[in-house]
Amino acid sequence: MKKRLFAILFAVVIMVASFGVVAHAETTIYVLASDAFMEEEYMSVDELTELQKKGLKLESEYGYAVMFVIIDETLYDYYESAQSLYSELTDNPDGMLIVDNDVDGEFNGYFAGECEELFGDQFDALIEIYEAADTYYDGINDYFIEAESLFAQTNGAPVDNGDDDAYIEGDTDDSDSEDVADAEDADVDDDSEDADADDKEEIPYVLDSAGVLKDAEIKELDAKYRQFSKDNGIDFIAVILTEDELGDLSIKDHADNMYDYVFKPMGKKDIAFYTYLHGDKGEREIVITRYGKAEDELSDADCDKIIGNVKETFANGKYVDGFKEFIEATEKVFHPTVHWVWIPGCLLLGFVVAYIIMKSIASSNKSVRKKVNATDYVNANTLMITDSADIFLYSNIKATPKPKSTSSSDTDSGGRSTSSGKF
Amino acid sequence: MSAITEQKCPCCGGAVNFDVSSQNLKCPYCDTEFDIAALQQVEQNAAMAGAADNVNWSTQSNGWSAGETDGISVYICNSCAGEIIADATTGATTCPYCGNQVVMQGQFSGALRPDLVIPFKFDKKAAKEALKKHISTKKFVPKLFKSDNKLEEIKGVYVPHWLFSGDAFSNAGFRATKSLAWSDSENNYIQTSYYDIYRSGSLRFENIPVDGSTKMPDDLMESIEPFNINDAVDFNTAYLAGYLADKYDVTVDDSYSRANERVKQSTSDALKGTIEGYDTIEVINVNMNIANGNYKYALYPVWLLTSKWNGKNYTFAMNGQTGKMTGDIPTDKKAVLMASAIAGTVIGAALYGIAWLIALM
Repeated sequence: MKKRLFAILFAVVIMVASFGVVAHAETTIYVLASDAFMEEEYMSVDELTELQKKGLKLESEYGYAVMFVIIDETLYDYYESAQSLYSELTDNPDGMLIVDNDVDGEFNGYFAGECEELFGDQFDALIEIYEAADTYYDGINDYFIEAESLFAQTNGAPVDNGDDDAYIEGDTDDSDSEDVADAEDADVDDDSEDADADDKEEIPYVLDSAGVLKDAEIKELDAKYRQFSKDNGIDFIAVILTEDELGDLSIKDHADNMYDYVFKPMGKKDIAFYTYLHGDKGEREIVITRYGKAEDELSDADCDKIIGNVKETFANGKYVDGFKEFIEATEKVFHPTVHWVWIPGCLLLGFVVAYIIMKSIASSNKSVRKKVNATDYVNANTLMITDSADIFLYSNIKATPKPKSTSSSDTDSGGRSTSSGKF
Repeated sequence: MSAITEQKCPCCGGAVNFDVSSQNLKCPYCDTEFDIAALQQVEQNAAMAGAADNVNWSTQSNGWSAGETDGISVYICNSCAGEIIADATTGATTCPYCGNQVVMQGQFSGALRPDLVIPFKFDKKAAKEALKKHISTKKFVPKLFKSDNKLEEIKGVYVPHWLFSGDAFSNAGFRATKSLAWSDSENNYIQTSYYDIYRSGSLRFENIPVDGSTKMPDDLMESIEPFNINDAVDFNTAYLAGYLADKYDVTVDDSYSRANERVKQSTSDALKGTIEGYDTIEVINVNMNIANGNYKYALYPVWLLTSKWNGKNYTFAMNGQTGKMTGDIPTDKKAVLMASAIAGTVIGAALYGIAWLIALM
């Protein structure tokens, strides 16, 4: 679980680093649940995604990070306090975190910055609202609704994210505040629209955690993948990972985490991750993970073909070329073509085959042949064997090693598909 | 000054005189002038043409050189007394003057008398039909060759053959292998076992024919085998009437080796056929002895036609007993290339379509 969280956080950090200027201030994990919790299906991934969006909306509108974590014993061991967990989940200095601790059955909480001043006494009320719900989803949803209500009551009108000066204190002059609020509403509306637009556009298409690509190369690949994604209606993300980053996780699990906790909450459902594991210590691997529409458009066989096309380039250490070849190979899958060289080649081969056939037909024109034997003149049943012997001389054994399979394909029950090739 | 006396004018016959003024000869009667040298030449020509005939034939005869007449025999046709020139081996032919069928008795008498003859079972009409069918069913035959064949020239010929019979005793050595394959998680294994095989046995052969005429290509005669000896009858010259026939010019001693070759191959095949249970069998050595061997001299019926095309001879032969037809037919290379180009285009288009299907998959 710890590793899973690291993977999520790392992806978030990389995304932030790759974002450049981002419309909304921080990238925050608003709802976090353990693997065991999700496997028990107390809450579905869609519900989790829905809650992430609500959290994102709240932070965008009010500037406060509102978070909820359902913790299990592994996470409990690592995080000594809700405060340290808060700092891992967000960079926003103003926010609140509630932790439902499955280990001791208690709740922990942390209020940071302005939230501590304004809402620090609301901890118990928020817990009560959460516990009153019938399901975990309803509980966390109610928690968000209550937090929003608190924000609104304190006249904490939606602000421009990242600009503290725009925050309106609850005791300011109402008339001014109305004007400012109107202006702020307009600004927030604009910002929301911008945020939406940026949300849709400004995701990174290249995630290089191994640091093997230069900035210019990242920029070049990002533009290429961005355009290709736009042309095909599927987001193709180039990912470079290291073995350290993965830890015990598989590449598929890492990709699932990125999809579930980062991209899907941002409305990116149709994604294909082209992941290259940069194995300094040994084996390297290329994995294609597909979600949504990408799973329909790219079959396992297509992915095996794409991986086969790029494997050698990556093996030679040409990462930029390798990722470019990913696009070219995918383009060939979407829009297959046959090189023009095939036309004269097929004609020549056809002529050779036809000539061989015609010559064999013409060979029947030759019918004069010497007889090899005198079988026609052997008297029937006159063969008499007078002596025979079959003597064993020696034997030898030849062993040929079996070729090892380096590619595999897998589709899990969640409808996500993965193809990989090791080298 | 010189003068030509008694020179006659070529125009009027009068005597010409030397004319001082022109320095030529001039006829005083017709005033025609002649150059002196020219008139002298005219007179010389007239003298030569007018000379009397001198006819005296002389002959140059080299005569026959030694050995030239060795392969030629001259016969007299009993019907028209015409002289028939035939080579030394001709046994029966047609008189070129009266068309009568003649048999040269001397070719088939005494030691040269065949033991057996297989009479013709197919007539000329059947032979022509068979030949027509043989050519028409073949592909890429030049049109001119098809149309140009002079089927009427097909001839029925009794071809001399030596027939060999005997018991063949053979010893043969073989090398054989057996293979076994299996695999585990790491490797595929093949075990090959080698064996030395020995077989010894005997086989009886009857009437293996060997062509006894140098005029008949051996491969052509062997191509129309087999002949069924059960239809053979004791020789009688009456069977030769209407057909051509040759006596042998390849002796039985010269024919043994061909029979031995075929017998040896057959015994080797027969002994190899008794080896079972192996994946591969290779012949290492074979030796053979013939016992109770004997031979006969027989005439076998063959319909023959030789065509010439593009400077090359094409001979067709039909087994006069079984009707089996053989004969190499020329191939029109341009037709082969044209057909290859057309079929190649179709195949190439199909291959291109398959390439597209694979790309789309």
